[in-house]
Amino acid sequence: MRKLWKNRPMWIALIAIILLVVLAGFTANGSGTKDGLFRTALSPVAEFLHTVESEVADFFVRVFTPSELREENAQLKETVLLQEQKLALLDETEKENARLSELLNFTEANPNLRFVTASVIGRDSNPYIDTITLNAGSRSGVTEKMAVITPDGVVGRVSEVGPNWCRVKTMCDDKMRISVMVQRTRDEGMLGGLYETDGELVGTYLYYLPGKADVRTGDTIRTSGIGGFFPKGLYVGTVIAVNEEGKGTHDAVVSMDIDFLHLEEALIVVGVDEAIG
Amino acid sequence: MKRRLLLIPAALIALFLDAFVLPSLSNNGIRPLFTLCLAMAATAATAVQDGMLIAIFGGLLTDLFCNPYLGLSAAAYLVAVVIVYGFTRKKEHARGLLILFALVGAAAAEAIIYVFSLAIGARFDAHRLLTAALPSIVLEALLTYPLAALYRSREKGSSFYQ
Repeated sequence: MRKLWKNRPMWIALIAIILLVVLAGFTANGSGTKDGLFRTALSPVAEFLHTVESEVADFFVRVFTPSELREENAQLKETVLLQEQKLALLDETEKENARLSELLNFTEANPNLRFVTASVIGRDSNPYIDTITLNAGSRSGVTEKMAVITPDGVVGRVSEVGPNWCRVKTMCDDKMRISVMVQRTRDEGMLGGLYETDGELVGTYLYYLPGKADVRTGDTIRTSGIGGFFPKGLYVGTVIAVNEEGKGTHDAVVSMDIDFLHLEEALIVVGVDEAIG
Repeated sequence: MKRRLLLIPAALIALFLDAFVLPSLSNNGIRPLFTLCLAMAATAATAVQDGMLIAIFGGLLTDLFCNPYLGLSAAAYLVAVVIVYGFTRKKEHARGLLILFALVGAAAAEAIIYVFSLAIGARFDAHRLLTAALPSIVLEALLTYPLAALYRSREKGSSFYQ
């Protein structure tokens, strides 16, 4: 035994064991930054070796699995893939059906308005989505300045028309203005401009209400029909703040319910038989 | 020297098997560590220095690729190498006893890893110890003998098989 400990390799081994255990303890405490660097540097090698490993595993699977089983496996994989695609399609159809049902209910509730239903096929890349493109155009009777709406409120106005498409300036456009009224008091005013907080669009401003107008938080704002572009009585939004300070600025802030970022279908008002409201 | 160079590809193949192939093929957690077997076999068949080199570099690379604690496998393998060397350095034993020595070495290596895991807060798992660790140790011991014999057939001057 003494001879064993006089042996130089044994001492080297002992010191190496102690150092390695200390190193393991060091990395176990999560303080091994250099260890992390080593691992990061080795990750491409590990990836390559994993690729080789999967190829080797595949080879053994090919060798040891009977051909009938392989064929059956391939067929089953294909079937699963098809079923997954069908499920995804079904899910999508279900959601579309729900959205279109909502639009249908809205059109049935407004028999005096004639609509063209259109899908959103383009959206401006800026965060406020001030322009969208719809898949209906002059062939469907769409012309410039027509109102575009959804059951959740006014989307905007047609600004450009092609044979089978049109571009719509949305309420998120800073220059967009529409005539509106407070549903409770029938006071009329103008809606437009963007009200932002911390870089996020919160709503639009309500201007030019009569001096004695009584506008309160929670009041519903609808189109007034003045100007002729938007039929009277369409839902626009809800008052979320009233300017108590008075003259020279806006009267209130109105929030819109439409999610312009996820809007998928809209109704273009192509004709009005009589006013609503 | 030429024979010793064979240890490099052998160690790399063992590392590849340990780190990438066996984890996906292991049955119920039973998987022998080829790098450990090779280190013990090299110690018995050639010289302790060979076993130490395989244990340190093979262990460190195994840790780098697939273990959370860098150095732990290397330390455990090195302990096994020292134990096998302690038993075999006098070259007086029957060849078959290498399996027994390797069994002790592999058990010591496994014990090092286990004790370390417990020390850093892992839960004691007797079921895993019996169903995975022990069979793995036996497999490692059984694998060490043919590896040593294979190496012996290529290496003259073995410390164990003279």
